[in-house]
Amino acid sequence: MLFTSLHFFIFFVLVVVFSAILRRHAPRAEILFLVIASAYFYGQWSWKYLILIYITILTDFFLGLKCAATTTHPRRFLFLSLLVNLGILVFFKYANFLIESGNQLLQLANSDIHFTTLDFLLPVGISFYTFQSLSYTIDICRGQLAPRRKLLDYALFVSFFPQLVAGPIVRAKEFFGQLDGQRQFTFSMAQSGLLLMLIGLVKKTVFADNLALVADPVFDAPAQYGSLATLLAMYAFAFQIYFDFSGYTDIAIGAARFLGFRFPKNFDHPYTALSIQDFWRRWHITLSRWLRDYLYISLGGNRHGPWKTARNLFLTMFLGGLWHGASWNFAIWGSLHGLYLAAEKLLRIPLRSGPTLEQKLHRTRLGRGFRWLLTFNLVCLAWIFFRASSFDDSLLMLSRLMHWESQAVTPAQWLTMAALSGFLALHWLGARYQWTARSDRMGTTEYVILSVALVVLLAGFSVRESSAFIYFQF
Amino acid sequence: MFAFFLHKKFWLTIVILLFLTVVLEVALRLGVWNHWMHPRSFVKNAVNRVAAFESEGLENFHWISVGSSSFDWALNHALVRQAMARHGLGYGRFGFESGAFMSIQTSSDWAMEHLPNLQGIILGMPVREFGNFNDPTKAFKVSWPFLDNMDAQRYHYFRDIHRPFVWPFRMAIGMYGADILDFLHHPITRISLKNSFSLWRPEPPLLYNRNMRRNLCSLDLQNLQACVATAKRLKKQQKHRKLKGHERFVTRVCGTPQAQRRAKNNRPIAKLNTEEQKQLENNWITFFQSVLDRNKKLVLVLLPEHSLMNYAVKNPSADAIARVVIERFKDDPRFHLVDLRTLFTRQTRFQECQLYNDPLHFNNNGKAILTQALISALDHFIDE
Repeated sequence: MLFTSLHFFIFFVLVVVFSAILRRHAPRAEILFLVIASAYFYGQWSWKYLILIYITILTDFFLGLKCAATTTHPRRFLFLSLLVNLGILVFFKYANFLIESGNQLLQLANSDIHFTTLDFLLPVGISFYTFQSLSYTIDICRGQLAPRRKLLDYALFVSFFPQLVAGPIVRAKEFFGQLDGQRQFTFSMAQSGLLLMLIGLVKKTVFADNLALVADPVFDAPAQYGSLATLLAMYAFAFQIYFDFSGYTDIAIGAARFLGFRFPKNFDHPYTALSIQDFWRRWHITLSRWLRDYLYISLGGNRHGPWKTARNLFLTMFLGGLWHGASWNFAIWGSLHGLYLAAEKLLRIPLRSGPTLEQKLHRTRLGRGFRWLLTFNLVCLAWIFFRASSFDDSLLMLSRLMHWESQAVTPAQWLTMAALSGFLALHWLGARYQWTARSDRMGTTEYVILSVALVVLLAGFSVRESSAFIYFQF
Repeated sequence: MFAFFLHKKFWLTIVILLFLTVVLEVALRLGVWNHWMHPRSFVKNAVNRVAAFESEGLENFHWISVGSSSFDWALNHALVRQAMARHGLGYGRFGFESGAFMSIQTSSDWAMEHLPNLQGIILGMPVREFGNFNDPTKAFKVSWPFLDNMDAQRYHYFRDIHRPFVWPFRMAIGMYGADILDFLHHPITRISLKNSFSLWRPEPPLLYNRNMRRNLCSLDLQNLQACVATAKRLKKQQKHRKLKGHERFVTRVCGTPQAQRRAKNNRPIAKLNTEEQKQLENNWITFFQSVLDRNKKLVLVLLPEHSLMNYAVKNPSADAIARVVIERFKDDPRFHLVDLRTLFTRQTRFQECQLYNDPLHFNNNGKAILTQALISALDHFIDE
């Protein structure tokens, strides 16, 4: 059930109405109702894989209780939770990747042994709900969170439909704090919920789906395209994935607000970042903070000098890349970001007393412009590995960009360039005016103009057969 | 709880969107989009034709031909025009592709209102069209400039749409919407299409003479069983090559499971029920009467039909409807019947398959014979 489908719209309206009625008259029944609604939502993809979610829920719920109750070696319960959760994740997401990689190694070693790959579908959203559930047991075993006593509450935390399949990755503390408080469907929540859902729909069906028409053909058959087409496809994909994922997040946050929940923001205009570190503070924020809190800090963080910090950054980003998908391309994408971050960290070491290069650059407008241009292009280059079908395709596209071949610019390419410039301008304007962040306190004039503009964009430019959100595959 | 939905932030948005919808509707009705329309769309075709009449001067037309593409493409309009000119009369082509009763009635009524010197209407159609209701997906587009002459109280245009529910289909937004969206999604393609279209179709719209070069001799269409077998063969070929227009038509008509069942059981097409038959009879009778009541002459030209249309498409009730309608007007001196149904069987130069471009339309051979026959009949009728 896609957020952009009529099916979801009907489902959502019914859920909002019944949930509001139940919240007023029988609050516990509302929780049960939302758990059932979420199960139905997920079941539209696969009823079979709903079992996996409930294995995760039951495991972490009971291990959380155990971990909090015991004083002797509580970490064994955490270990068990990691084993179950990561075991399921590795099996369903990485088994075939590991088998194929093993086969390639065996082939290199001239071995006749060949393992056959397994035939099953990747459960939608498995990476997201696994990380969300894991954060709960880790927090409990670290003594930072009290365990939940009601299974129903925990089931809702893990399976809540707005964020079930592609985040944002909500922390237990954030979620249960709201569940325990007096959740209300207030005026400002309805206002922001509706606007966020509209913004998300426009980002997905108008911007992302139209950009896909530019990016997809080139990424699917890079050998057939020249340098300019490749460059435009790279930039088009950069914006496509941003609009696609942040559009999903906006709809998820907006939908949650209609049900009385406030989710943390997941994007903050990442293409206005002046450094890679800044980029990761703005891109998929809830994943970044998960990786920071549960991986980077666990690896030692920045406590052991610049070189080990760089190493930790690299390892974190490498694993973050692999989290996205079971392919070496994602690992390379993550590694590239790891290298960028590590290099940035090392460049920040002052060689003599005085400002670092970064600080010097930051002083002038030209310097800031250079930093932005460099960051933006480094991020876009890395997207090639993220989107390309294979490593060879990625290299081919990079070689197209390195060995530039001049060709006449077609009218369609002029139009793409104009559209991309427009998206960039829109991105900066969004950062300046913070429409999504201010969605709950916007004045009438601004709100109405923005809503009308969004509906007009939806009516005029949305792609009829909208594709699934890119991040659903993770 | 629902205070937001009562607040102006919500309803003002709705009001502005409704207002914009009304503005767009009015603007489209005023023709702001006509210039940018897809050059081969039904609406553009109709709008262009009205513009062509206006540019030649509405007072210069004494006779018009109306009908669907079966008739419109079956004539060499330049020859008909010359023939009329010999009598000192002006002639205009007013038939439309995918035209049906609605476009025939509305365009005729429009012509009677707007052409001050109009003397008569030549309505050409195969008998099967007496048994057809309009297709709502096309009828409004084809008849768009004449929709003020639509009368849903008087005529029963559609089989499935009840009279009170016709009005939403008349909205300009619905008419132009898909075209505007197509333009917004493919602006470059559409602009280049618009620029190049005049090169493809250099002749003026009123003299448009469609070149119909194909014939049906490569297809066995003797009877329904043969047609079904041909459709099966073509469907297999479809995997390897793109089918041509006449081949696609055959697969659409004879390639359906219904056609296969009919061929197997030797079953005829189901007749219209009594009520439907009555509705169609009333449509035609009311329309013919309205033409004659305005003191215009009406020439009804019954066209030859390919045998495929008889066994696979034509509703068996169509003949009965045609009989009732003709019987009603045959004694009126302002009504003239030109029955060309057997025109092709009366000549020996060509076989049936050599006279059709596709089962719906005549090719250049058929067109030449038919135009000549019509001109002879008109000469005779006008001289009288």
